[in-house]
Amino acid sequence: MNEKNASAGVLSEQPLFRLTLALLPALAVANTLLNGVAIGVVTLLTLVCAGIVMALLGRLLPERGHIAAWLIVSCAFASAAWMLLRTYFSAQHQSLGIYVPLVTLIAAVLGKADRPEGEKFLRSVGKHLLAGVLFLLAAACIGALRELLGSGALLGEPVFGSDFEPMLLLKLAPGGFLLLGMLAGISNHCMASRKGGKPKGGKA
Amino acid sequence: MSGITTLGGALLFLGASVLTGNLVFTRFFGAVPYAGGKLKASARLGLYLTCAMTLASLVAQPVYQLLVSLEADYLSPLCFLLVSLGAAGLVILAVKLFHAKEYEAMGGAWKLMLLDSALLGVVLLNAWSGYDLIKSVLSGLFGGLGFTFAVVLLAGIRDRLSTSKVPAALRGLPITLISAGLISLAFLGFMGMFH
Repeated sequence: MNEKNASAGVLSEQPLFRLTLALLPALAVANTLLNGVAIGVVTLLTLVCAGIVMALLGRLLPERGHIAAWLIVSCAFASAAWMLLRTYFSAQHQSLGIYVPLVTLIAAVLGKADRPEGEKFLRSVGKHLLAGVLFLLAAACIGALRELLGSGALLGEPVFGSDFEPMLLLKLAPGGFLLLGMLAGISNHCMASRKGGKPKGGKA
Repeated sequence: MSGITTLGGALLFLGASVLTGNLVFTRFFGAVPYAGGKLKASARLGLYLTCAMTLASLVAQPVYQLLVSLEADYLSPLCFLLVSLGAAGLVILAVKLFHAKEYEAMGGAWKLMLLDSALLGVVLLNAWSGYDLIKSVLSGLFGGLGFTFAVVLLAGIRDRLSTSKVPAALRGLPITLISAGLISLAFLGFMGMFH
């Protein structure tokens, strides 16, 4: 995608690259539609709340401490989400496990914690909202595909007839990597074929 | 609480952390393996992360015990984050003090290290699986070695791919992810070897 300026291993500025990188940890839990939506919603809420706080704090913080501040603020919201899940949605709390606190880092990658920006408040919040909604859609889409093809069901209800042979691979870890890689490739292709369109389009 | 008492147990745990339970290929942790760095630079970053992971595991375990005894384990994610940021900061500081050239050469890669999910992930994993102190430290160390192994594997594949004809849409991250999927599939062959 960007072989030249990635020589030092720096995070790319491309939205699709960031979205795909952020989706990686979520793959571990997004193996059904419900879990995909759950991790997506947690990420969306954490990202937007942390984005609002950081947009308000932005000018007060020194540039050097920006990443640490982002991480701590988003960790506070991820912990809050963790506690809410534990209290009201214990099934999701069990299935998402340690990946709810890890949303801290997903939100930091999506929210470009490594690059302080002096943007207008509303614009910055809107950007985070858009990134969060895209993440939610992508996680739900991956979860649905893995559940549908991996076990022939959707939301626990069988969809295909009894003749359907489920693709067990998709439920396992390798299937997650392969699916995300292919979806990222497909969105790359779609974006390249309609140049001049919005660069943020595409699902994965 | 589970622990390790014998050398054989430690070796089995090493095998389990690197091959069957690799943080990158089975738990989807990590950003360094996909960032597209050169092999040597990525491997060094992986080793620095290993040091930070071991250090963070060492400190986080007593902190978690303390939080549990105070019935305040809801604070654990925040404390783990602070511990792992501190550990990463110490490693970066040590490199800056003793190896200034190296510090300059890594440049923006340090930011990537702070944002890598393997560091916080391994600490959370230790607490979630109820490891004791020794097993936590070993889990940090071996998990980090497995992580570095995965970084080297993927960087090697990227080097090979740079001379081959990859479809335009798949260049960069997508083909790396598909390669990671195939390696992960190969690693499934080790399943059940280490118990």
